[in-house]
Amino acid sequence: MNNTRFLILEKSYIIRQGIKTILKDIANVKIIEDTNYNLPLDSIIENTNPSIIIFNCKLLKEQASLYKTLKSFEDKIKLVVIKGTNKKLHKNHIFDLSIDIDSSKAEIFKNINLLINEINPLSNEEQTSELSDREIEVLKNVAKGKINKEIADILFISTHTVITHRKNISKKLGIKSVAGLTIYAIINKIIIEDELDEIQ
Amino acid sequence: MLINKYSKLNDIILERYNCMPVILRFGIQFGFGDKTVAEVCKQYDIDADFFTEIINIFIDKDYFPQTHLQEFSVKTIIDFLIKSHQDYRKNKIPHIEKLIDSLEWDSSETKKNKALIKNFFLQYKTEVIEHMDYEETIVYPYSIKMEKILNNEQTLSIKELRKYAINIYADTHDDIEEKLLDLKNILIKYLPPSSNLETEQMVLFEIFRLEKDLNNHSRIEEKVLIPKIKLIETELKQMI
Ligand SMILES: [Fe+2]
Ligand SMILES: [Fe+2]
Repeated sequence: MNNTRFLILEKSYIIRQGIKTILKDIANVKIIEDTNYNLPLDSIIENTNPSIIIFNCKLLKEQASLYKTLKSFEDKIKLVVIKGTNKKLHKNHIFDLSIDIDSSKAEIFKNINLLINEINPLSNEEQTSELSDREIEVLKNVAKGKINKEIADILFISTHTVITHRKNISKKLGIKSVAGLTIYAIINKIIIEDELDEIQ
Repeated sequence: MLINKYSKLNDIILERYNCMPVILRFGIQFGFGDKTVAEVCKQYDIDADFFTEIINIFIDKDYFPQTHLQEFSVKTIIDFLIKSHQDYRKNKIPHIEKLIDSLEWDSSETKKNKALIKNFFLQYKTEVIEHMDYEETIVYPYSIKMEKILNNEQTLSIKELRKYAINIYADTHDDIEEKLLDLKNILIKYLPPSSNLETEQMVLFEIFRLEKDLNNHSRIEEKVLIPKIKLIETELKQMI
């Protein structure tokens, strides 16, 4: 089972800790906190790649553009809003889940788990850690010390595609550096050490 | 639980042994009896408030009093950063290197694994040393100089101000701990188990510790030192 990534947008330390405590009790949850408010929200979202965003409805009032930004990620990310008991949300605002601040633990659990189940069948397929044939080709060339441009020429693809492949490889393997990827390639016989000696 | 100046150093270690390396890094030696942080710091001529905050950020990853930390002198901050560098150079990194040297794999097929790991780590070590050398020869001396000029201990020269700017450092300062994650994943997920799991476990423990340590170290550089020097630069520019 893969982890569901939650991004918490909440400035208050007390409330943030509260949300974290609740989420930590749910299985396979990865919590991302981002308190670096200097960055624009869309780049925070792109950097952290969450599947669910939990945020305080107060933020919508503080930042008029927030709703639009959040909604632009609608097809990829579920939105969960936390609101005060007597607070009404803006009638045009639509979210995947609205949690009342007074809800019981059981209620919150049930609703969040429903949301996670909605997402997971999809992300399970996407997040397989098996490398595709194309990715193995790219990895082999990375291990041989080739730069992106050279790999693009060898495989008849664009440099941009090479970069995308490399990002996916690193994500699947949990290895970012060329040195680390080379070790992986040697262990898994994607590249033979003799080939390496030839190059060096 | 966070500590304060009146906590007994002995209690701190008994409850949170993870902060022991940082305590020793300040030059404090064991045998301090029932002395409090304030008392021990006085004995060793350490700023007790600074010591307390540093221990606290190592204890609690959610705790980072950025504004308070920026109030300490550049010299106090850099003294600690340099002591950390020395600890990495002299102790932490060589220790991991030695542990990697004593890893063994059974079959001839897997013997090469040691060479792979060793090479990776040596390459990493070179990068970390280059990183620290740059900081010690360029960034830290520049920062100290800026503070001296601000305190009128040194004269302000416009040429000096134009030669370097902390932004050059801010833009290029990278995460030296990142590669350690690669190493952890290789050991845990991909390499066949070594024939001495106890040693392999120790290698992993030390990598986890070093990673956390470096992470806190970079945080001090990025969130305390850089913004502080930026402020001093702005002030000095107004004086011209
Ligand atoms: Fe440093
Ligand atoms: Fe650094």
